Amino acid sequence: MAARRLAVSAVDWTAFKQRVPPRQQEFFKAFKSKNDNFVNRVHQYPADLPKIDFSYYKGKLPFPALVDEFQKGYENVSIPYPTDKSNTVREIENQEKEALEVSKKFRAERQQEIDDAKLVLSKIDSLPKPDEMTMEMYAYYFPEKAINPQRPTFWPHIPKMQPGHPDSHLI
Amino acid sequence: MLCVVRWTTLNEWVKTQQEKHVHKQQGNNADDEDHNHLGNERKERNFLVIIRGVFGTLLKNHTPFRVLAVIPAGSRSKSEVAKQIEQWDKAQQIFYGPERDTKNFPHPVQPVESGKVRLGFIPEEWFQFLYPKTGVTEIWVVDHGFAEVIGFYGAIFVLTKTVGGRLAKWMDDKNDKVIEERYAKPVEKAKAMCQEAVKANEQAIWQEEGQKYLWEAKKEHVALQLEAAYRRRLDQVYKEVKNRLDYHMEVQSVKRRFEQQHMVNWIVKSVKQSITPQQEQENIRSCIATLNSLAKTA
Repeated sequence: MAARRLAVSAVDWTAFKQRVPPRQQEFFKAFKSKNDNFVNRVHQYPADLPKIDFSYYKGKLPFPALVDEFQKGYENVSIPYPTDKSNTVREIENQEKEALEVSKKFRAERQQEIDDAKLVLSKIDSLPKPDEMTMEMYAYYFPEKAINPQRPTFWPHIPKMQPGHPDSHLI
Repeated sequence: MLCVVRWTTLNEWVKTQQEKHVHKQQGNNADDEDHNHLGNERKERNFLVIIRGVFGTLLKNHTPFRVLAVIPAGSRSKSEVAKQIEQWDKAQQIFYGPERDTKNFPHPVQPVESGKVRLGFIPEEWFQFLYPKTGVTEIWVVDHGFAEVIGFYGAIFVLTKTVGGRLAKWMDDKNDKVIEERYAKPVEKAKAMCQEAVKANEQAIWQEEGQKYLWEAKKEHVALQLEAAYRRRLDQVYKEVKNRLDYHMEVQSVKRRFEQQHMVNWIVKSVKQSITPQQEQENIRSCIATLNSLAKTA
């Protein structure tokens, strides 16, 4: 018998929709219509074996023994619940596992960005005020930006004019 | 003024961070002018979010993974921002840490007002320079050109009194503007950018977590299809049994109808055969007699 018998979708579609980014709403719509299609297909047929009024036939037909046989067979019939032969669920679970890994990486990156932004927010106010900053302090706070004789730059000393910058070939 | 100029680099730093960000997403972009606007930056961030999301794994086949391809995920143990902040902490330790004696040797701060001056423009310290050595603060040498000094300083005095105030105000305003442009605004921008980044990334994570619904629904689809197949089987059994029974019913009714029809035909045929021509003529004659009697009475 079935692991579970579904007649309606158990997924919280409104919550699902809220989580879908605006540009993917079309995908969501297509997916939802697919789901509706499956649900409709389920409701096309009755949920249980419909009753047949055998007594009516018994009264009308001249051979009640045959009707009895039909009734006996009909009442004792066992209809096997279809099984997922190609193991689609397992395939989906495998896909889910793969997607989850990608998703985990993505979330870790986003979390890293959040942490970075929060770190900057917490520290940016502790920088010395402009009328307190000296050249020496500047060199300590921004070693990459301060004038460093070990790393000479070309005039006009802005990043995109330096060789190796992605935009340098445009200039 | 010089100190303020150095702060342009903070502005630059913010800009390069933005540029880096944009490069990450677009690979290459020559349109540098646009990067200065925060609005554009926001757009870029939204773009970043769209690449992933609930249907991110489905989109994989439709759109290239530009973002993920450029940022090696999880490979960096410490981000560039974290490194920068570490550098700031180190510098903070040096200049404002416990080892730095800020009580006896406070940080020199650029004064808002100029120091004490003599004759309107000569710093007081210049006069005090000789005091520890000579015991007097100034030595006046009066030679034959001294008359010029009176005229020169007189002119300076008049100029200071007439346009000095306005000149000072103009220069102060300019300085304030420079500080605003090169320090206050970049810091504000950086803060706004960070807050925006936090918000956008939290949103992205929240949307990414929506994938659980997708997988749940996908598994559910299999169950729904199985259920539909099962119900179709039930329906099939019902229809087959009912069809057979109805067939027998139909056969019975056809049989009965045929028998009835046959019997009626047989009876009518037998009655017709039993009527002789003489009986028929008598019948006609009695009919005409009845008509005649009816015509008289009418």
